Amino acid sequence: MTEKKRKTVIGIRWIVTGAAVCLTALAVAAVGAVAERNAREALNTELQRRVVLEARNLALTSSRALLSDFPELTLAPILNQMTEGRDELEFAVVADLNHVIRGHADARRIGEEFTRPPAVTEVNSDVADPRRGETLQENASILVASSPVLHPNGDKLGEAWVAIDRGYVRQLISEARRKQAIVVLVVLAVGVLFVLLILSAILRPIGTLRAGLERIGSGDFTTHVKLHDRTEFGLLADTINEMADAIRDAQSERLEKDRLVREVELAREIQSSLLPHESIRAEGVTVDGAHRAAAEVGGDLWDVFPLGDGRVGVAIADVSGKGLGGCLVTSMVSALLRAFRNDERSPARLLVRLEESLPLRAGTFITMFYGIYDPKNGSLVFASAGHSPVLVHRAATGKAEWYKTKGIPIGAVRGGALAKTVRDERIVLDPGDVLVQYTDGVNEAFDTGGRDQFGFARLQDAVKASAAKGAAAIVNKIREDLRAWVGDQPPFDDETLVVLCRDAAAVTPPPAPAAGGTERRFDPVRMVREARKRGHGIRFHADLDELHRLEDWVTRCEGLTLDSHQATLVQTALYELCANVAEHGYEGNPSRTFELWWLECAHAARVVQGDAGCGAQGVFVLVDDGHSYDAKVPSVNFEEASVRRRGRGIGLTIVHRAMEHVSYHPQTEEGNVTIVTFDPKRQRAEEVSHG
Amino acid sequence: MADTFQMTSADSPPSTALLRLEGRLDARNAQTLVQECQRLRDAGRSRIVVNLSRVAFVASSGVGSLLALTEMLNDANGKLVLVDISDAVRSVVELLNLTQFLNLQTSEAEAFQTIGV
Repeated sequence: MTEKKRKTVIGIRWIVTGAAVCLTALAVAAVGAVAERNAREALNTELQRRVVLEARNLALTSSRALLSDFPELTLAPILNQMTEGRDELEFAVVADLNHVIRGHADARRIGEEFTRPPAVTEVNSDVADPRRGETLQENASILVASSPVLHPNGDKLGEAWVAIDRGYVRQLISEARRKQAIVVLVVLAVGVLFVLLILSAILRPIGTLRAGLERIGSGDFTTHVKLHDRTEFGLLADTINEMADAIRDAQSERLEKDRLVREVELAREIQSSLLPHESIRAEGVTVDGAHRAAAEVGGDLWDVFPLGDGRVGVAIADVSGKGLGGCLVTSMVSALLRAFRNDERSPARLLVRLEESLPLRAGTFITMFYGIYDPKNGSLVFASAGHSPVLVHRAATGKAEWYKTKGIPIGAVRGGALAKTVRDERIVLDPGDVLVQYTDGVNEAFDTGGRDQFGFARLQDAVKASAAKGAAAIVNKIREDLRAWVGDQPPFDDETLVVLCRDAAAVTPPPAPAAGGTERRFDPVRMVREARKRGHGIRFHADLDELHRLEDWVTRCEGLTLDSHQATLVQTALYELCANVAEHGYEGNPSRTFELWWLECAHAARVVQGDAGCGAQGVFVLVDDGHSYDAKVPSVNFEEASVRRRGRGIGLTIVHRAMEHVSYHPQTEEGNVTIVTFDPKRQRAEEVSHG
Repeated sequence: MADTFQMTSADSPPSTALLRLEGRLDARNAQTLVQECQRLRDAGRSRIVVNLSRVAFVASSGVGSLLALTEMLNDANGKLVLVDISDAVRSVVELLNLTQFLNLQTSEAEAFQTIGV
């Protein structure tokens, strides 16, 4: 027993016993008081009856004596016998008509005058018979009765007086009370003993429970409280055992969690050690990057390394899974990249080899960009396996360019699909140009309200604002803007960035202005934004069965007036464009959607560049974010039977013949944008020539 | 409805077939037409008349299938004749300047004449 610093305990058994004793005593006292009162009344009545009867008896026995010559002689033995041994009798007297005492137990009183006791009052009772001349009187100390002594002929000869000491009643009652008290005390003692025994038996489990709780309190959750009890204490014991089990489980869970947290910490350190910690400078180029891990250890990676001949390799990857699994895959990617990079000159092949070597589980995939910069010609040969579009900021024009590729993520589709889709692409960087690659944690970072993503436009703006200041400054600017965007919230995904800057030439030659601006009639991004603001739009799923809605939609384009032949041409051309997006851009995935807009000239003219008009009535703008496709119109010569036999590839021919202007702008900030205009007049002219 | 397509075949002399099309002739429905014509050809009915008077819309795949079927039946010593093409079909066929490569007739009776029935 651990008796340390325990407070004074008031035992339950003593409290209950005390309460039982008090209640019993009170009950007994109340009952006793009532019983005593009744007994006292009964005794008094009995006493009155007795004293009257004694007086009446004395009167009867005294009748003959008073007629004799010496009544004293006859009465003395009667009275002696009557009073002998009876202490309660105060007196017994026989007096003649002259109130002279004729009979008395004390012979010395014979002959004295009988005087009534002082201060007596009549007792209000029917015991004495006043018609016979009987009286019953009392004062504080005695009860006195008288009865007339009568001659056989009815004449009164004297009176017999008997008095009883009232103290006798009190004595009787107090005796009864004493006996009662003894019985009560005995019963109480037995009761207390009994209650104590029962309580001890009932409360015995408390000790066991307390010992169990003390064990649990000291951290021992394995031993159970063993209690075979059918009272509530049994239930309490079960509850305590369940509680101990629950605490034990929670504790082991916490220990496990702590262990995991330590391991994740370790994994994070390992991952962090895989990333470059300073910018790398090579001939004519600087590469810098940054990584900010989400709360969970994540699967982002970036790396930059010299490859000999002055070439520099740049890689960035995002593993789909998070946690330790993602971290392990990231480490493998890093290690394999180190193993392959020195002997693999084709980034696309390197990505394919990575996929072949990685033991990826189904559902785990990696988006990855890998590029090799060659300072001799400023070219970056890269391949992208489903990674975010590459942003290139051109120093000469101050414009941003986005490069999307068709490569699918590593591990996304098995069976050589990656090798078929990924290929080496080439970007030439002029002095001062900046190339930025990033993971989706950057462009998909939500603002403080959780509504809007950081997006490509803000990334582009951040790069533009800092492009002239070098790789490190660009990295910092993007991170600052990102921090301002997301506020204090922890990143929900890894944010990883890599920035490659071709050093500005010592003397920057002024850029030659683009001659004529032939392909720049429309700024696709502004056109899309304008169309979304003021145009008339329709959204389709990538499902050919939806495209019949075009017909009705075209008739609702305000400012577009067509006869039925022209309407057929416009509808067919738009159908072909939409079908292209649905079938090729989205590979027929009906959950994807794209938009088609009609923007009247009045609005479209605001965003038209150069001197070309906006079309006779307005422009159609098609916006999608699927794969970009080859927009080159195949030369279809129907003179050749083989072309006719194939019967395909006519769609774009229809579009180009039906429409006045067709331009395709893949991978803009707003996605792939196709802009077409229709000129009813020109169409008529062509019909004539065809006719 | 604008998005429905129906193809019914009508009675015709032996070794010929008469198909009447209605609705939209787009990629999906063009495939149905091609399969039906292949089936007829394999069943020895390689002279096929297709009535297009009620075709409300034709997509490039529809036009392509008409071209391809013409060549296919030619190769099988048969013939594909298009009857009474609707304005919608005519607009696209003329846009592509394809009238010279298709057999177009104004009535089913004329069509059967040209295939020698």
